[in-house]
Amino acid sequence: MKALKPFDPTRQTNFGGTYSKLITEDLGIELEDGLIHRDRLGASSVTGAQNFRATLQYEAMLDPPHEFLLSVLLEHEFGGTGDPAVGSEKHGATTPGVTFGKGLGDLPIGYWRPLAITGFAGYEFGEGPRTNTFQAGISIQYSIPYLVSKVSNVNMPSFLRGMTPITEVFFANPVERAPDQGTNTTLVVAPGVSYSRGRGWELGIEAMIPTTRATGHGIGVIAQLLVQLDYLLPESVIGRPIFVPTELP
Amino acid sequence: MPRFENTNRKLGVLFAILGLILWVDTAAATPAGTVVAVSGSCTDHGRVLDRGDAVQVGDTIDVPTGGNLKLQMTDRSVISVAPDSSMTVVGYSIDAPSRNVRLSLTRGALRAQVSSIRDPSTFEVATASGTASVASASADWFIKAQPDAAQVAVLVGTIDLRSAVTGDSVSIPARWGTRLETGLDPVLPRIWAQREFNAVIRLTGTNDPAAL
Repeated sequence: MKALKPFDPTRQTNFGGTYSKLITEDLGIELEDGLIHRDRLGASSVTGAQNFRATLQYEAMLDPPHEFLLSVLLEHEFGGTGDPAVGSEKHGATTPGVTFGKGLGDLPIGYWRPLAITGFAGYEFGEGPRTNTFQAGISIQYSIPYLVSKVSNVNMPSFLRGMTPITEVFFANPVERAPDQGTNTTLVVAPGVSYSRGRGWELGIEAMIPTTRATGHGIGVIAQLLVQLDYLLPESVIGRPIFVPTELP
Repeated sequence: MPRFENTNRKLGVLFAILGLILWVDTAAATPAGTVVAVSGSCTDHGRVLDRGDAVQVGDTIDVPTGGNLKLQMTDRSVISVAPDSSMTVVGYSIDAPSRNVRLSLTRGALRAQVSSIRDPSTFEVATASGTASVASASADWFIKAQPDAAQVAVLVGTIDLRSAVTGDSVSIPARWGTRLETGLDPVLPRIWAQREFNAVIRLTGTNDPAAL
């Protein structure tokens, strides 16, 4: 990811990695860490670790006929595990939240059926002097793989058949004013595309367009490669949930 | 005497023709497997099947509503056919160490527990929507044929599912499944929950207490 911040002539690049593991079929854990590199005008560059994060996520509702999914999650950022020189907080934070996904494939809307909406809302409780923040995000996407597999055999080049145009919006609003921290709302709009042909990996790339002064200025880019270990190594310990329900004989 | 010799010659010709017919019939009736469990009035071209009956290449097996059938094939693979299903053994050739198996599922569902084989082999099940084929040395998987779609789920191994119309295919690994609607590309595979597998295991199970 690359982004510019206002009043701070800095170009920032993040290299992050996330490992997700199913504990049961409904409960998963996600571990996230990464490096932040900052190029500063008039000063030397600096590279350091971001804070380590862990998230527990539980699939509370799954309704395949209506293409609906609802999950609850609890994320914890471990304060002080990153490098303060790159902006990692000394104090941690815990965020309970909820995510949902809704496909429109069950509606009689023809070629609009591949549309899907996903969303997230959470409240970050900061430790110590760290400001509490309300966070939310929403995405709208149009899945070409869904179009050619569930709606119509549209004639198009092979590579297009794996594309999903997507636009995401991220929003964060500090709800308490702390004397030494900013309190402005950040809002990023991220249009992009992801590609998957069901081979165990997915590639996504999005522009990051800041829309408020607190968000920064200049357009950034985020690229994500998702490798599905449960697809590539399905019969190994890595690919299976830790606890699998009993199988009928 | 000449009349008697003439009769003997005619009988000899008749026996030769009969023998030839029997030989040709035996050669054409390639054994594919044996019924090891059956419940309900399952038929093969109208003939009611019992445990121990042979199933041959070219046979079409019909399992009625409420019935079940389990076959032990000649390569030690096991095929369990669900109620309200119709399956044809199009080909079942075992020329060790290779294997060439072609089944056709017109309707219903089956579970194929495909035995391990070292050399390249073909084990495929065709439906109106597309063809599913084993892409691993062995496999334990399910296929369901509906009027306008096919569904595949894999417990062990890897299965390729190819659309009959678009030619597009997906690979389905163990514990994943997917669906193929007639005339379209296969849906991208997803992880199947154990409760979904249990439902198809029940569907293709047999009530015969003497089952394997």
